[in-house]
Amino acid sequence: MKVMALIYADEAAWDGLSEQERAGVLERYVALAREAREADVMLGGDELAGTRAATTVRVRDGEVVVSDGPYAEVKEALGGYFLFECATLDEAVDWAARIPAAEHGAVEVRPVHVDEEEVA
Amino acid sequence: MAILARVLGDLELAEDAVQDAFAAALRRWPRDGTPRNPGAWIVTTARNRAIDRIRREQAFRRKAELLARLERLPTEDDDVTTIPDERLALVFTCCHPALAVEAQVALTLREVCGLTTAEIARAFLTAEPTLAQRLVRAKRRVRAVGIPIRVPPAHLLPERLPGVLRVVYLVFNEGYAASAGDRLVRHDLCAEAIRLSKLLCVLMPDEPEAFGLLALLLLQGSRRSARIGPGGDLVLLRDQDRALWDDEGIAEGLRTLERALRMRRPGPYQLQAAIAAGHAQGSSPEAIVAVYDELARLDPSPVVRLNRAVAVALAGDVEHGLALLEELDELDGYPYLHSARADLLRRAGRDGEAARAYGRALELTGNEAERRFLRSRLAELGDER
Amino acid sequence: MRYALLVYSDQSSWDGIGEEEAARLRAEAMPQWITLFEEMGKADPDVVGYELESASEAKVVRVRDGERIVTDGPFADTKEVVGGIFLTTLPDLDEAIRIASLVPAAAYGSLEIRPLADHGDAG
Repeated sequence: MKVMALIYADEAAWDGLSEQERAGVLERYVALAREAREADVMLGGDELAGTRAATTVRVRDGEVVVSDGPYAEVKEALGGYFLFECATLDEAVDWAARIPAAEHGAVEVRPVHVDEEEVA
Repeated sequence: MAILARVLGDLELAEDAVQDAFAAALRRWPRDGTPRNPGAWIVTTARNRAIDRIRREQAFRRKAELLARLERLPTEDDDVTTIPDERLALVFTCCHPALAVEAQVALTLREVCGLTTAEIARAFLTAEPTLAQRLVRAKRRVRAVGIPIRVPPAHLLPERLPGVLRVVYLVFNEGYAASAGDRLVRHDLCAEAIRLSKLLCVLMPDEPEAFGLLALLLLQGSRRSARIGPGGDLVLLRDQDRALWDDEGIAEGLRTLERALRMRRPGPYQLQAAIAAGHAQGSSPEAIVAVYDELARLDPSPVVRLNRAVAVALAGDVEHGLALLEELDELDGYPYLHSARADLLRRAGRDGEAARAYGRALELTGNEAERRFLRSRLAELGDER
Repeated sequence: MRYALLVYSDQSSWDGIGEEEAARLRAEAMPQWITLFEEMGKADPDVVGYELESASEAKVVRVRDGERIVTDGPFADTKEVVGGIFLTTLPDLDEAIRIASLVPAAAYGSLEIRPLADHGDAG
């Protein structure tokens, strides 16, 4: 099964880190991705730009309404994801627990819908 | 400036360069006359200044590449009929809906009007560092979210133009009915908005609402001296000394409105201008209500309905006007709802209710001149506060 | 520019409706989805989209003091939650807005457009 691990973390905490500390955190992500790839679990992942760069779009009464900022102002915002190929949801939980943000934020594990649409 | 921004790929650098050139142009043109090709002149001057700056900043990345791209820009002698569009592109970038409205206003004043950070901060009674930070954030956001520096394609124009006009109107309103501070009218912001609005008409000669907005600003602006009494107090339209109205401004506003109406695509700004024209020409209250009816049909927003209710009352039916105001619960936090209601209650002889409504307006108003006005009304009703 | 389009909607509206009704609603929205996929494919042939299973199937993982805490999800307590993600390369925000506005959920939920960070790509 394909499982997405959605990473929620406090952006302010990240902003408060020194260059060196950030490099250390990023290094842990790279190492985890490498390990997951070697275990044939890793399908992909991305880091999102911060919520300051978010734009929200709604269509109401046929009109496109654009607003600056994220869908919701929350302390811990979605900051990225991993996409895993796992045998069970528990296995995905094991991998999710190793994502650095799990130690201060939270990782939400969600199966990807089976007939997932890949637009090509 | 957008030409520059595009070749430089860096809005901030382009802005600094054009900032200088545009400011220089505004100082020089009234004196030396407009050059043959103003757009090209701006780009040429700005290019020279940008080259200077890049030469100075040895550490600037991609320096050689940037210089090479700048050299390829058209010079003043080239035919650069596209340049007005480039300026317009910048307006649309600054007024992009993905930016917060206050960021749109600040960016427009800085990038399009060429005001300095200090001037904008002063105009909005904001601390300069706060405003500077707002600008830095906005510019960073333009780049980070990928807002394009271009005039939107035709199919996007209808949804984007109102946002641009609204920013201009906000600038004007902040000058005309300052929401804070002790002066009622800040002429600098009004003049800036009118200038910006004229620019939009030059750049989009086929957009009736751009002309409608300009007409509205000219007509309202023509009364701004009469709106303040000797003590800096608010003077209502019906009490104004018409000799203080700027006849030339009114004439220009009427001409502009006519041009807009000839395009036969009415819109909210044209109708508001028509109402302002009605006041300037002393039209009957009934005629003004008729235009409000049309406006409320096109734009049934609460503020328009509030104005229509007042017009209905002034045309003689005070009770009907009051009944219409009762339907506007959503404006409860808006001081003008309460001052309008108070005024109509006073006319209806319901002094107690009028005093309560004036009191509520007073609670909600931050402008000192308007507060003085409301207190004087309360005093007339025997309520000293 | 690389963008993520996050689809937020109230998934609880799907709870408690029968399979037949759900199928009917899906079929009703199908022409819109087809238009969306056509436009997305034209704008970026490499676009990918992931539809997530209902948030009620989510687990939330936290590690505190070395200890693993797993709770039933979803993470967000907002009414609308992420139900899908598109990843696509588009020329600018205006195009991202246009594509986002074509997603059927934009009419009853919200689409959040987020550029991807240009460093530390975990993939």
